[in-house]
Amino acid sequence: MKYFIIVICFISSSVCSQEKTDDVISFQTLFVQYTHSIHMESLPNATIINSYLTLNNSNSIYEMDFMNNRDAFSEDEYEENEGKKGVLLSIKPKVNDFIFKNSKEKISYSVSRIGMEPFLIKDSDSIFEWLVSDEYKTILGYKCQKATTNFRGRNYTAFFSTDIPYQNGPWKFGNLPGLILEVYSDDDVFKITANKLFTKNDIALAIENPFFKRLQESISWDIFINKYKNKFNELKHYRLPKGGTMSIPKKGIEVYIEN
Amino acid sequence: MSFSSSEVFTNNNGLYNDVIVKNFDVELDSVKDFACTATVTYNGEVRATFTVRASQVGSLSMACFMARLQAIQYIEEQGGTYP
Repeated sequence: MKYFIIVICFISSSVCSQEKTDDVISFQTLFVQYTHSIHMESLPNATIINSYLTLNNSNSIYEMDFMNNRDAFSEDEYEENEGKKGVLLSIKPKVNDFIFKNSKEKISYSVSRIGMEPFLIKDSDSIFEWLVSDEYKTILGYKCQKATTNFRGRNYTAFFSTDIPYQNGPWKFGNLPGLILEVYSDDDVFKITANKLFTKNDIALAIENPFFKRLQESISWDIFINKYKNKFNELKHYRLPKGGTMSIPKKGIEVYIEN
Repeated sequence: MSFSSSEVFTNNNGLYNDVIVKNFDVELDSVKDFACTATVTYNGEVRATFTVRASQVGSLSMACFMARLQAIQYIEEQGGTYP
């Protein structure tokens, strides 16, 4: 019996070692730091944070560091303006937002919300159909080519570099022949720009899906949009217990309800 | 009219620890249409708005108080973390 247990341990140890060795040999891990800026039309100030893309040949994870966004929680002055007033309640998150992409299966997982209720969304790479042009500019020393697209209600311009042969990018963006170093919406609502890029060949980093325990809960964008529309319409007829109305917006970075 | 310029609310439901309230100007359909809107934002995006109308400009501060109260109640009802 003792001999059997030792053999089992030896076999499982070999398997684990092999998997780790494969990671080291096959994948070079790339780290990109971006500046991630959101300035919604209805809000007085932009939210500007650091974000981090970690990627290898098979997986990537994009972390938006909202937890360290101290600017958003500083005190704002208010101005009197008869008949036009409002209060802004900014919720400080306890966890950062992530977007995970599996390049081999060409799928991504991200969180979208209806009000504050989170839903895990499963998207495919085919959500982006880019038009590549002959315009170029240099970002961080890399020659980048321009591409444009319309994605869920906004027009976007991206600059990608084929010198960095990862068909990936920040946030949900990807599906271009090189890494996206800059992308912005033409209405200035959303902008992401790379400011640092480095590799660490000596690090055996397995990029794991942070949502792996909840994959069964994932839904498609179309199902999410149906849920969103139902809630939006439900709130049209809702009156708060102490008077007043509640609503959810027609659009965030992505448009949920067309006008 | 006057509003409190800033208040911090603490919540321990795991999703967030602070809610900072700021006052700002909002667009209304008409100057005659007195109302106050409390806007809840999370990670740079608007998540919900609560609007309370006032019969006259004098009661606008009460409308703001009520709108903010509704928004805070909504935030406190939310919970959980993802992932």
